[in-house]
Amino acid sequence: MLTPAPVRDAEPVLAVADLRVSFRSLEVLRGLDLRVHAGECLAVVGPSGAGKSVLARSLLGLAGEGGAPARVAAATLRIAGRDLRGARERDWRRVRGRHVGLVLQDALGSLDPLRTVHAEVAETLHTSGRPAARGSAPVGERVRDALARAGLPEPDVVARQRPGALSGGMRQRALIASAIVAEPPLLVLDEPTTALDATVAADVLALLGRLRDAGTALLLVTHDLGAVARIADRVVVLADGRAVEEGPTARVLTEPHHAVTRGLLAALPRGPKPPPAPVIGTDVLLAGHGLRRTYPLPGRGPRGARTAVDGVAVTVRRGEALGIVGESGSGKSTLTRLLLAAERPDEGTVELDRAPWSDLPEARRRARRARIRLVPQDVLASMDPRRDVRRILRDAGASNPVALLARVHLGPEVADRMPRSLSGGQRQRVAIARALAADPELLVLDEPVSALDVAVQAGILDLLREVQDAGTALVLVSHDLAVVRRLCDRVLVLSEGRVVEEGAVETVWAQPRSEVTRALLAAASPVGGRGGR
Amino acid sequence: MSGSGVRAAAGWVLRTLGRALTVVVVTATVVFLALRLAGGDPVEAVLGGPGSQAGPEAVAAARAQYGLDLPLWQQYLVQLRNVLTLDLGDSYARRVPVSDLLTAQLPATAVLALTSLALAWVIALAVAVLATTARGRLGRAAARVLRGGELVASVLPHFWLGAVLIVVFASTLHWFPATSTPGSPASLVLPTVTLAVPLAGFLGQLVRDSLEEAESAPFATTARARGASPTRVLGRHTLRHAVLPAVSLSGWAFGSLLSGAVVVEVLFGRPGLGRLLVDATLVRDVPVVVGAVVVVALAYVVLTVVVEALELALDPRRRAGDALVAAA
Repeated sequence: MLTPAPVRDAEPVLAVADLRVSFRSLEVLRGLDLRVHAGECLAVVGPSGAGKSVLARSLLGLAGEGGAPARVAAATLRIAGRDLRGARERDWRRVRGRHVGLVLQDALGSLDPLRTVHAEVAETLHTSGRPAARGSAPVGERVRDALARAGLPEPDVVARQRPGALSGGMRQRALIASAIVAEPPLLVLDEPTTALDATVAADVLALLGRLRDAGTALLLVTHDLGAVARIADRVVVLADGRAVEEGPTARVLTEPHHAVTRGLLAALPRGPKPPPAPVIGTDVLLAGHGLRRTYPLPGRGPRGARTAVDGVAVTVRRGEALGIVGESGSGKSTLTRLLLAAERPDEGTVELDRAPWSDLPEARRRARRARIRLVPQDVLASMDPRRDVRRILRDAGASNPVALLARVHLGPEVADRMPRSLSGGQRQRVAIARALAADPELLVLDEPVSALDVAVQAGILDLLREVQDAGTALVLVSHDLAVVRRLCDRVLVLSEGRVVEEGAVETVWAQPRSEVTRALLAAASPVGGRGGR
Repeated sequence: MSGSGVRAAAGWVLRTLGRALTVVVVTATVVFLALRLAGGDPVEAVLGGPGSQAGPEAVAAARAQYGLDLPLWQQYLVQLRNVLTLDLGDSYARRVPVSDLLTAQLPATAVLALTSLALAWVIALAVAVLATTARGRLGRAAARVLRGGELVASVLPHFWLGAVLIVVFASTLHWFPATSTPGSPASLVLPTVTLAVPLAGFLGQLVRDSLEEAESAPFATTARARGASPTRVLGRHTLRHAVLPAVSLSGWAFGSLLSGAVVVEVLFGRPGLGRLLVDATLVRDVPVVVGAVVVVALAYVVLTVVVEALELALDPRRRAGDALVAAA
């Protein structure tokens, strides 16, 4: 099943043997062997804490980024024919950008917000003032070429803009352009699609596939097995600093040998919601009718306005789990705020338990606020960083924080921790515990698992299932149909502020009627055929 | 674009002028009321200060001459009209136009405040860059010392620091003079350091904090991954982010320098606005006090405009047209 390729006999672009990286006494990578050839994509997957990001940075001599000094040792460390064992900072600087490019996860943070896209992309050309830059096209032309290769329309316009003016997908493309402008033979990508919504991520993966086909060697570090299935030729599974499994993508994903790999695959939000369905009442708990909300656009005067939600009707029955899906910008967040009565609709009304909700003044809503609780997307930002978990849960009205933690399967020791010291999954559980403190009838969850790796995702989805089984209705807002399918009974598909499809999850999954749903489905199917080539 | 641009610029100029006018009226009012309600009789200033032995006729004549026999609200309106027509009137005590007094004293204070601000920025930047880029065990230890130094410096009171500097560098070492001589740069050194050190401590903490944050930001990692040297990362990326908060606070800092100048000018026997203000307040020389305070307030307004312009130059995100369109 090995993917045949014409250049396998040549020397690999990246050759690593027995790579060890340690911080103080903690060894994070413990003897890793990797080879990536030109025109090949090697994916490195593994659970959080496996050492994936440290690996990506080590390949650019940046293992010590972010504080603690790192010790790096290897039997072999060759990039494009250069021996980089024991390379000094000065040697590494000549390799970075020209022989190996790095693309990080969060393009908004990874591009300097104060500089233009041109300045950011051109930087590599200015730092590597030697052969690669000289004797070829002028900088402006090379920048434009890189932006065009990264699939940005109107590269001249984009080059003059700053990252803040670009959409998430365009930013990620600009970041990729900045990594490929000097045409390095090796590209290291650390979670390049994690921060993107599914359709944009699919476009970026297609772009990476084209780069690979043009001869660039790709090392893709990710926890997204869907991305791996799309573009990787081979997969290395990392656990605890070691490679526990390696092989062609199709084989590893269909016949995993190692328990860690099986765990990653099993955790994928695949398949329908397991029966038996919980008791869903017939009476409506929350209902929105004819909801409409517009926002003025900055600098356009009174006439410029964007309609974020345009005539939407929603009902949530007691004990039911409703999914709201759509691409970014489809109005999911606005609809969520309207349902929570955090914002007033311009038209239409929201009723809670057949009594007015959105039309009431806040003072009269307050007494009933405890019946609906939100689990926000950015969980960490919603917690006071100076309070421990016990205090956070007490503030939310919990009389017995430890019992509440047990309900979300966290041990009593978590009560004394500070939010920042928790892992992503633990934080999400604490956020759910906090939302459950007042025993709400409805929990609204905004992208509850999008920032988590698949194994942790599965745990959270199981927990939410338990919450629903105990009688709490759920509204799950997500861009990922697979997640919604795993948890929800009904789904509402939003596009440009309107409901384009609505129905039982399984029906929508099997026979999508709208184009938008089909696009979301194509982007969501986690381990399907390879879409890149 | 150009039409709306012109309109935006005109709007900005009008807003700024309106703000300046408001500041002038409010400060003049507050100062006038504070001085008159604090008790004492300004006619004493005219007649040679508190406890003067002038006879009742002389007092009455002085009252009439300076309009002090009018009701208080009329005196206030006269004072306000004078300020708004830029005719600051005559000093009660010195019998010369207030504008002459101000033009004589303003340069000394302006030079002191500006050199102090400049020195504070140089120290703050140097300390922040050293503390952030220090490598190795010795470097990190030095960085810790610098950090502690910032905190100590930022809480030093001017009168104490000035006195210590005089004792050490003037009385003992004889490096710099303790008192001012006009036109002598050496006599500017100790007052400048006295004012600059606490401000440098404050600005240094701000700059270092944000520099450390910027150096560990993903965009700095990305820049290094493009082969940028530490100097380039600092110069092209992180330092710009790091100075933004401190620039925003420099307008406020300049104000604290002016108030510090009052203490320092008296301590070092320098001429200047601070000295003038202290003397005039003691004898209730209302026109001088109002004039000096209004000038200081205007300096604030000018500095706020300068700071705004600097922020726009450093942070393009604030410029119109580049505004983020919220993606909801």
